[in-house]
Amino acid sequence: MSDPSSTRSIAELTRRYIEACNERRIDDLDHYFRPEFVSHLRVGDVAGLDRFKAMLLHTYDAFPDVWWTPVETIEAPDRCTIRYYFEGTHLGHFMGVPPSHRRVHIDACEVMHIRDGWVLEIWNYADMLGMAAQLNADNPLALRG
Amino acid sequence: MPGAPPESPHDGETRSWVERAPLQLSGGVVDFARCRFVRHGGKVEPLSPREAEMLAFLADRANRTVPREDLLTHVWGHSDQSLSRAVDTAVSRLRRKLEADPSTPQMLFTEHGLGYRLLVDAPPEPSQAAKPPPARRLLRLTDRVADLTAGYVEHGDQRIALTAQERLLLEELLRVGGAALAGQAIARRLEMSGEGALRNAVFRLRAKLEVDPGEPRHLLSVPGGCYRLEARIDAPTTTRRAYLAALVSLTEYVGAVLGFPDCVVYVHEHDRLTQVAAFGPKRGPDGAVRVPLRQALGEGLVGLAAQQRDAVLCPDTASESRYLRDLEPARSELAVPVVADGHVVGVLDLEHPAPAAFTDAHRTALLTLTAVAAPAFSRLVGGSHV
Amino acid sequence: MSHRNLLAVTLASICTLSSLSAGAQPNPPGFPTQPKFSKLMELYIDIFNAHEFDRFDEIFSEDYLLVSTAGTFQGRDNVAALMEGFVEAFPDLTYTFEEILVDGNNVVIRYSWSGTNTGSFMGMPPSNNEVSCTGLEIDRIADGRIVETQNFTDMHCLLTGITPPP
Repeated sequence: MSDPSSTRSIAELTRRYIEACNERRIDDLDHYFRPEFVSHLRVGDVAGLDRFKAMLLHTYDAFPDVWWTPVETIEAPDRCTIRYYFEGTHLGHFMGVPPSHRRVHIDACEVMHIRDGWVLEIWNYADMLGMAAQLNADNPLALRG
Repeated sequence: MPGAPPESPHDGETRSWVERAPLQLSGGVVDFARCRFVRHGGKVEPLSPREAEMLAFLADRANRTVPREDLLTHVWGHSDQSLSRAVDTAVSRLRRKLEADPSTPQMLFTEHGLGYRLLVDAPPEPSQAAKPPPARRLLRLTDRVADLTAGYVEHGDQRIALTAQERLLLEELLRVGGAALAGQAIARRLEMSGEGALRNAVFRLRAKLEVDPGEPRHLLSVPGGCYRLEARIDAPTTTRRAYLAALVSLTEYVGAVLGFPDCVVYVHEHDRLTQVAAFGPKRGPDGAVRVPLRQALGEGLVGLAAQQRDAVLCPDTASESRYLRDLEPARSELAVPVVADGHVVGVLDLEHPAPAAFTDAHRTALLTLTAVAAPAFSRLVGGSHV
Repeated sequence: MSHRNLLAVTLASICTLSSLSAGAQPNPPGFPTQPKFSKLMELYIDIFNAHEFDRFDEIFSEDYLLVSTAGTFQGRDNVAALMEGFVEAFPDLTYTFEEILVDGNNVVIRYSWSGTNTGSFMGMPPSNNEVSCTGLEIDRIADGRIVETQNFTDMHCLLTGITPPP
């Protein structure tokens, strides 16, 4: 396990981040994320690497076979934008929705702020409404309420 | 009955490969759900359902030598020793997919005269095995049933395996609830080479699903290169206990992921708001509430949020006459109503020992979160559940 | 090279380096931090904020494709119709570009929009709410025009905004 270096390219960092999440090696994220990093989700801020790992564990419990697939990556000097989707079978509780056993496919995009080979901040734009619709598909709700 | 295949993947020792988490091996990772092996660096090797089952069986006995007979019985469903060569051939083929150099394996070993061994660095967490198996997701067809959770079609006493791609194709069509989907869109989603590949896949799948593949009743072609699925799914019945567990999980998300130290979920039933789940100081065993409060609609800030159907943000409870003191004193509070179909079905209540701890941004974000959970709340309150 | 010129060159390169590793501060709002496509981006926000959707030929290609969480729209006319409906619901609709990132022919825009729902949206009565939402889009540029947009708008924010208070 090598130390992160500022010469690691943004593309490589992004690839390792996704691989670590897919392969359930969440402690490897210590090498890419500053401990104080923040991920801004539409449902709130996940502040700190520990909470981010808690989020991943919640996701693994909810979707044991979850897999993140990048669709395109756009690099800028200190930013990386990843358009991706995640898929999995909804077998555990997720954000208050009991298991539907459906296979879900959620489109998302996130912008990462990277400096010297470390991730400092993430802005996430996952399709929350699409996700809610899929998770609750057997229990639909009038959208307007 | 000796040599017979297990009644169901859940009855036997092996969990259905469909539900498995990706398995880390030294050369890459096995993505069971999509039936493939992804090498470190990204190259993808598709696996047959049998290869996936073999890997699952070996992974459940990780790092131990598994006799060839066991593989034959559990994966092939036979005890006929004349088929043992089939096992050897299958393992060789699988090894060529996994190993960078099949002649010097790093992951899948042959122990001559004894059996096979899969080397797994980090064996699967035992806590996963403690969970009860998920209910089966069954697709009712004319004369057979497709089990989408386990990944096979049951026809009489025959069991026909579905490939991961076939299962994903059915899920795509199910997602739109009987509507037609363009073949091009499906092919793209399933990472197929084109509409031609999809046509072939549909043709093969019809052979597994239909009484007469030439006259399909379920997997239908729609003019314009589209497809749709005409079949009923038995949705799982979620018990009241499961809905409460979902709310406990919600409080854990709010607490451990979003970082709010004290949150309580209320459910609105019979004009009362009852605390049912908590994270932080009010949490009892298993996430229930230590000393559950019940209050009337309109009572306290929680009651106000429910009555107004809008979030209530109180930066200083000391100057708020409506504040209802719970077990622990709090200086600021944010109460977010959970609305389903125009009715308030619950409230998510957060407290903090410091004043002005909550912002408008928190309010907006939590309204998004409760919108995701709202339908489940409504089932708990008034829906048809056991 | 004279002493003074050397100093000037050194200062210039320091400024360039520091703007690249600008630290944790967000980029200043508005515009564009990259010179490439700046004219197109200026036109984009001007046209959208002036609600002049008949000028889409200045920014979008003829077969422009918009893929968004709200739906897929092919062709400038369909997108114009979408925006007309949006402005009818929010007559004071205003966009702000928070950040623009450029890589080759791809542009990433983090933006927000705001407006007051005083008009009907998709047949629903106005809520009169003041709505403010964020979004992100990825635009692909070719021949000086935007050819395709992948948009991640906050549909929940929008739907909540058009819901009248009880």
